[in-house]
Amino acid sequence: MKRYFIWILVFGSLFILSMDFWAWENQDTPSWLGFPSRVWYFAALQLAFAVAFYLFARSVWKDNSPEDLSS
Amino acid sequence: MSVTLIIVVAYLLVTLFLGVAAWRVSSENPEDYFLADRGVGSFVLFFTLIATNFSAFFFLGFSGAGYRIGYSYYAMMGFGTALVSLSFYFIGHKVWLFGKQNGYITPPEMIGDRLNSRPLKVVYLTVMVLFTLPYLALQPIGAGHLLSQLTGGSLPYFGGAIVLSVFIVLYVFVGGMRSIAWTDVLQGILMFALMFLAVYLISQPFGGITEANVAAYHQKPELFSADGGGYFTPASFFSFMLLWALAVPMFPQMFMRFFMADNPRSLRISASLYPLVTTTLFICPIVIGVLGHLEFPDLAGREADTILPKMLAAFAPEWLAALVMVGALAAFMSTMDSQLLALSSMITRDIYVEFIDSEVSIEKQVKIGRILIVILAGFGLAIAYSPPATIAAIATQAFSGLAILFPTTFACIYWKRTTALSCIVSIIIAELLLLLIYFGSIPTNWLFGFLPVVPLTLIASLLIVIVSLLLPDNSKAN
Repeated sequence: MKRYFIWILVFGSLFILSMDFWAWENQDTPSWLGFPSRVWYFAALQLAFAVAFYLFARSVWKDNSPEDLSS
Repeated sequence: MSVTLIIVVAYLLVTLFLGVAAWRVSSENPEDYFLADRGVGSFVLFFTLIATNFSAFFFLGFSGAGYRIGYSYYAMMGFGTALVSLSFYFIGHKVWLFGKQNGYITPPEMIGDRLNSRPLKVVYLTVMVLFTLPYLALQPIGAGHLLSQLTGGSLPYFGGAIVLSVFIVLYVFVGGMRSIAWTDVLQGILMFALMFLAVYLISQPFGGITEANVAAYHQKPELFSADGGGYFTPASFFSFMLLWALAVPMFPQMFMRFFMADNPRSLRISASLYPLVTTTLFICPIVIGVLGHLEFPDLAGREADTILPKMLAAFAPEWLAALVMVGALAAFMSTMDSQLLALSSMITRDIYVEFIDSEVSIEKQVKIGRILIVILAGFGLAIAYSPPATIAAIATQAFSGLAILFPTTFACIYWKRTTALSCIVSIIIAELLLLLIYFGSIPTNWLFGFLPVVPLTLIASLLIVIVSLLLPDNSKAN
């Protein structure tokens, strides 16, 4: 469980950031390329998620074989 | 012969050729036929995962949602689907390990064996089949409409459904999963490239993407709002985010892809690339939907789902429009072929071998699987001939119905004290509650604005814990 703690924190934070209810009352207007800024916010969140997942996979996701299941 | 027809026929023939080429290197045993001999590398696995998961709903449904709801749909759909990659680790990796160790081919086979329970296997199988069948039937329905539209009505709706089903049956029948995986690569690449091309083509007549977006904003500013003009509430937004992560790995056609990876590295690479696809690709159909208001401002209800072909017909040359719509056809086919094979393998292994003839030879299992593919495709066509109105509604419940299996799957993998009885109770009660919600016996205001998936997966999880602790038995997870 210890090895997951930092990742629970990272992915949990990203999930909370995706619940951007504090910004729901603001009327979004076209920004870069005419998209609302919330599109860029979520694109950035997904990229951050992709980077976090890549690092998570590198450090936690081991290439164990079926034999490792019994150990 | 029109340009459109030539492009569609050429695409179908290339698909068939790939399917036959895959068959030539395959062998006649269930592992090869249903799982491509558990030898699929990262490149093919990545494309088969995205092609299988992104059905025609991605092409037509997303653009329709973009038209009705606007850019908030991207926020929900993009991030929610990116979360699925976590399931690839927590569920997919273990499923691969258990499959490799014990030779599992179907999800119910693994779940039943983990807790040494035939009744659990049957319950798990029943839920998977019941919620996949209506979703399967939707594919020939959608493809029939699409092919009819593509050919300007010269191919009638049901004729289109038959043509598509026959082509799919041909390549799945001969080559099984290997054919599906190879054709998925072609279909995945087509979906990717043609969707970007479609956005480019459609935005150009309005002066480019920036000008087009600004014009759409002035025409309908609510499409740029966070709540999608009142479509989302915080509770429903939260629910949708959870729904994809819980439901997608429970689709039998996705679950079985975890078995077929050649090693964990392939699964890891595919999972790592998955969020990048949602970031870049998902915005495309939604842009097209939003820009649709500039040319077709008055589409109502389900008509909005035709905005993509309408915009292509309005702004792209015929051959390019046909090419892009072939991408949508690819999305239909890549989902339907995998559903057919997943259902066929489950009925063969978990019903025929389990209850009818446990001594059946390996060759005969493949033969039965093939016959079932034809029967299941026929079943889909029978429904497509005169689709009942409730089919679409039932299919939309498929995500929640399958998500209810997530707690059982997770517990079977990770919690040693899980009992088979607790999983059976969890699945049956949660599915019954879903039915009661669907038929209105449980008022939706009892859900406090959440989608059923939130309270039901919570209840399903609690039932597993409570029943396992109160009524322990000797059937423990390994």
